[in-house]
Amino acid sequence: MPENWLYIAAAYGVVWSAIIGYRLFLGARRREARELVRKEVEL
Amino acid sequence: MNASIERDYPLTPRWLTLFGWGALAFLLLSQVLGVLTSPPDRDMGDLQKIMYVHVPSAFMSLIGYAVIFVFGILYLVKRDLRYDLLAASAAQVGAVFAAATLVTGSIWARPTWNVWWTWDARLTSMAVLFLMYVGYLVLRAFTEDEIRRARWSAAIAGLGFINSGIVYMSVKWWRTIHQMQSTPGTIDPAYVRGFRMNIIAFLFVFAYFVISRYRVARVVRDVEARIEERALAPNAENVHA
Repeated sequence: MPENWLYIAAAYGVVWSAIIGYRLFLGARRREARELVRKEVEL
Repeated sequence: MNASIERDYPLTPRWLTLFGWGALAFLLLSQVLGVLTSPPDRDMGDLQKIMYVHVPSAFMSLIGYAVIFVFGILYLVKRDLRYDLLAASAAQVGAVFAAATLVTGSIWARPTWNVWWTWDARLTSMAVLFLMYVGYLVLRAFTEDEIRRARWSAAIAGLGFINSGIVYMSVKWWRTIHQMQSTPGTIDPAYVRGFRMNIIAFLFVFAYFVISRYRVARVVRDVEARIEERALAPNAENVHA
């Protein structure tokens, strides 16, 4: 186990959380956009 | 979504999905390689491994404002709102990386400098950059008129771009506790490969996020424009035929 492993794990955890979090956010925006397109077609 | 709309509004074309997964896989590979192959640093020990996430995040937050600036200028020159949407997409992604830079830097600072935060020139200018990202996004959220929003955004982009230059140069211009810029030329050769790979991997992830966000923003804008157009001309049924 590397020394200061907790700090290293925390730093990597922060970055991966940011990346995964933004990907999820993007997914939600895509679903909203698709819903908007669907509504526009129905109009 | 039916087939014709999917053709008109390609939110996730196949190439983009593949690019996204490829970028993520390359990032994972780069980080595993960086962590497993780099020896402990003479001064920092294993904490050096944080460099593979902290420095690329910082690069992306600086590149983010350069991208915003370029698209802001392009908007002002060509008056095409697609450039403004591209700038806004880069701002959102840049803000995420700027936040990641501050947090990972703080995590690095605690065991090396014995503080979570200090008002050092590099740290302070980076915090200002993050606030400029937030300010840019808040300004856009509260400005209804899209032309005015695009123009004001381009003006803020200029300020943010200047500040990103200050962030980069701060360790040269002022006596700071933060070490010099980490580039392939300034770090130990043992870390160069992992460093380069991670910078490239972060660039791919950044590009994937910006392109994806732009496509969503463009679809939403186009559909809203159509709805508005239809509301203004309710009897013109064949407007989009």
